[in-house]
Amino acid sequence: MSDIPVHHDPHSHDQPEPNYLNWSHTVKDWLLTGDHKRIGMLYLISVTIFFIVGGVAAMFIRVELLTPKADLFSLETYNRIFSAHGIVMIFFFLIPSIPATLGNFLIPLMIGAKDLAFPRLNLLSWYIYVIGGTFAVLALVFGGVDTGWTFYTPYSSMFSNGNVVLTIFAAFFAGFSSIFTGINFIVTIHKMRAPGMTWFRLPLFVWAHYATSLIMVLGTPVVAITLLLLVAERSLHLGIFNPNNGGDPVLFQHMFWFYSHPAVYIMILPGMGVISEIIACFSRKRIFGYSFVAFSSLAIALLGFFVWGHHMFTTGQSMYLGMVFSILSFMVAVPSAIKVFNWASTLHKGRVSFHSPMLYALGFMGLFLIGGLTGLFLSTMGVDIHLQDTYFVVAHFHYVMVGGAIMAFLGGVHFWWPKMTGRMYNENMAKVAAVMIFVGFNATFFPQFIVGYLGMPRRYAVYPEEFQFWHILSTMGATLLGLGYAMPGVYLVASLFNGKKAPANPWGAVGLEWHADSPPSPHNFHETPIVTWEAYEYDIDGEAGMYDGPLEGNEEKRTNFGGESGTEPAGHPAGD
Amino acid sequence: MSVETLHGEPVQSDDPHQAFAVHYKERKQQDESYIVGMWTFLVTEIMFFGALFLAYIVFRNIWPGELSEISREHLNVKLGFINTLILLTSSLTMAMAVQSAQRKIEGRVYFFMFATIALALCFMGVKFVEYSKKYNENHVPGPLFHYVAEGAETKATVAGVEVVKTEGSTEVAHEAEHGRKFSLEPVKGSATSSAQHAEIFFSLYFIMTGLHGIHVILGVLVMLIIIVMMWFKSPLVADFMPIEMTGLYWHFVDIVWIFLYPALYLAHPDLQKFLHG
Amino acid sequence: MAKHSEHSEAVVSHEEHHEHHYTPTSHFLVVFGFLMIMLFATVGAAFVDLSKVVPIPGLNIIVMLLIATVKASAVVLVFMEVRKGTRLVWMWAAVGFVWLPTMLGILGDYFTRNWTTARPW
Repeated sequence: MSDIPVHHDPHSHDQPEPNYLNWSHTVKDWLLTGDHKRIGMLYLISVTIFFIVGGVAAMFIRVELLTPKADLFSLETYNRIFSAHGIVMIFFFLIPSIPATLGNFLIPLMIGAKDLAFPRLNLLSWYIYVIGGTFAVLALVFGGVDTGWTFYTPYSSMFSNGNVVLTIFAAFFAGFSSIFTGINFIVTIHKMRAPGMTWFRLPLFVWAHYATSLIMVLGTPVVAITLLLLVAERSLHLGIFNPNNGGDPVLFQHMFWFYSHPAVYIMILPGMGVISEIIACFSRKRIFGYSFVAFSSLAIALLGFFVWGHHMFTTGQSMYLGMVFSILSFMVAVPSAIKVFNWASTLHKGRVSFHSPMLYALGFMGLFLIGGLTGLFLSTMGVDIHLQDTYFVVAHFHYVMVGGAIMAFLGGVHFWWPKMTGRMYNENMAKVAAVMIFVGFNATFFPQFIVGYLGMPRRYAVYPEEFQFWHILSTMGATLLGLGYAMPGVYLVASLFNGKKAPANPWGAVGLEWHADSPPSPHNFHETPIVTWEAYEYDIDGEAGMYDGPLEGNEEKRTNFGGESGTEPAGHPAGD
Repeated sequence: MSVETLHGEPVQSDDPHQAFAVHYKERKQQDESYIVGMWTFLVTEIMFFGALFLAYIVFRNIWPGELSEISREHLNVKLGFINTLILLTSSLTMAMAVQSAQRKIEGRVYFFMFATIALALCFMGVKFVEYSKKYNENHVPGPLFHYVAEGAETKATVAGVEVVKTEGSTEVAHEAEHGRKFSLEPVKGSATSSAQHAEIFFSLYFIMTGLHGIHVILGVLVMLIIIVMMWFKSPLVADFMPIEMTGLYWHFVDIVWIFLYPALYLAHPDLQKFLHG
Repeated sequence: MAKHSEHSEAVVSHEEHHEHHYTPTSHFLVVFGFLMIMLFATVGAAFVDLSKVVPIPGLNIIVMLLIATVKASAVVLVFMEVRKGTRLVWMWAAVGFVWLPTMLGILGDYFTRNWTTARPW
């Protein structure tokens, strides 16, 4: 296992240089790898599998809801299906999606490191994720669970007859996996930055991941212990969460949401980091208000810890605490709006080009805007009394988590796909898919705002007939959305076989990761880069700005850091 | 642990105290990464135990008098004191083990590591005594749980025959252990609720001290593994960093107990007066 | 090896290849003694009704937890060698203890739930 060439001569192009994908092909070298890039790819494959599982469950839900009666599934089965959808999508897709795949792959590249600080811990986190995933699949195979993804007590502890314990262990393991990822990112970002890579030269993607890691480290243990208490409660009937025994079910909700609300930001913050990268690149402009965007990530992460109670306005928690939570929830809108306004300002007078990653990014902005603003409705206590547990809530969080996080994930995958695989995908198909997803998404979830406002409660298979129109619309949209999601699966995989070879920097972007080969060599950079330029030094009129298509790669752009014959890094300020 | 390598590549120095994995730039960077990483992990542990303390505070707040009463009657302050003493001492020996490793005095490392393990086992021994007493009194939450407040009279129905029993009579416990059908009805109205309070108190007691105990056992296992690896001259433990990491973990386990002891064992009735107003 | 003076400040070993600062044993012993005194103080606080001396309700548990905090700080600073750590180590050693009160904000619910005579919805 020790035969990787440590050093290559960057000038000898006679034989193809080994990259992280092809230096070895054995299964052992993939499954026991410490390479953050390979682990990122392992995560990409695993989260995609869980996305498919969760997606199939979602389609079952939509098909069932075509008719007002429960004719496809029994009510009990329906409960299990929407629970499976929520649990799989949240714990096994959304939370690890961007951090564990793109974050794992890109953070060391972006900061100029050879690897994450703890490669073995990184591998361990993937294995723990797989163990958790296996538990989740087993729980599904044995008949699933009917508690919803929130496991509210005392239903889950006393009455539910599903595989609650198995599912909880699944979530517990997934949580530990993300704790390890978080620890790794924090230490890496603190300690592994290349010379000259100061905090304010970091790409916003890295800032966003730092904020995300904070949430993973500070929040996840709380839900871990809460779930353990729930297991103890269910198996021994302790009574801590059971009002009949003098316990308090609201305590469970407090402890659950203390993590699970910040967890929403685990899903969206890395997405915001991705969007910052894409918008800057395809506007050929420095991100407007870099430090504001950077600190707004931290602000969202920290403020996100003080708003958990807005999930509990109707539970009988203290009214005064409810008011505080309501106000604090409004305050989260401030850093979120800072981000959106700064992206919009970056677009303003930029040289905007509409490549597929940019389409996803613009789609993200629109959908996140709607998702965020409807969040303000829900954080208003009085309005929330009416909207609590209706499809309005469902639509709101899908706009943020699907319209936001998954659009960003797909945008990021498209943006960095050439870097990750060394292949270009079919750009036209990618554009069609991006538009299909955008249209399909809105068709699916916008009707849910309306039907929710009219009073359709979530988690019900049976509903009054007058809601059927909206549900049919929603299911039609979901079909389109599903096809849209399937398309990248087809053309991205196809690109691995027949895609054009990607140049090192197909988009003319200036991030440090684009200075590595595509795909990167096992040690990322041939020499340790020395960073002398600010983040997003795009030259709107200059050479980098003249770039006019993803396939017109210019390999010469690749830079040797400190090399005697190397060109200056792209976007290097002339006289700084 | 300290020779963390990238794809299993060899470390860059023959001297274990200078070696570092290839993805680091220098030894200092690796050392600080490990220490910060360990502290970040301990942050998660703080939140982990913190959540349990939160649950405990919530119930202490709901029934301030009852819980401290149960604690005073059923937890042994002296055993808790001895255990605190043992753990604090083990922290000292652990700190000495780390120092010896830093100074590369191998004999002392063995001595202090074994001393720490011995103290940890004493701690678990005392815990075993406490737990088995609770078990014999049916104070372990679960199907066998049975609690009647001190001196409270209950009307126990055993096999259809009503008998008045007082707490402490072994007969009731005996019946319960053998799973015979019997029910206890409170004579005083408060008996059921006091049993509920007791069940929640003992639940939290067992979960908190139990998770702490699991941490102690894990610490012992890690120390044993390090000792065995040192014995076989494994290059992985040739350096002081693995022992320093273990030390950080062990001191954290000690800190948890420093808070557990007053919170669980030293419940003073004064608190009761305060919260009852 | 015992030649190292154990009572001077921050002894440094001057081996040829390696140089590591370590805490002298005397510091550990002083802290251990301090922890012992604090332990007895904690137990003492449990048996004396402090609120009779100073009329602050619940003073005992407050004092006991304060003592525990002091003990924990001593362990963190000396045994865990944060005292000599870099700023980054200081920061991450503090994060957990600083952040914990955020979660204890959940208690706010229990303290204020009954402030109103209106029935909860």
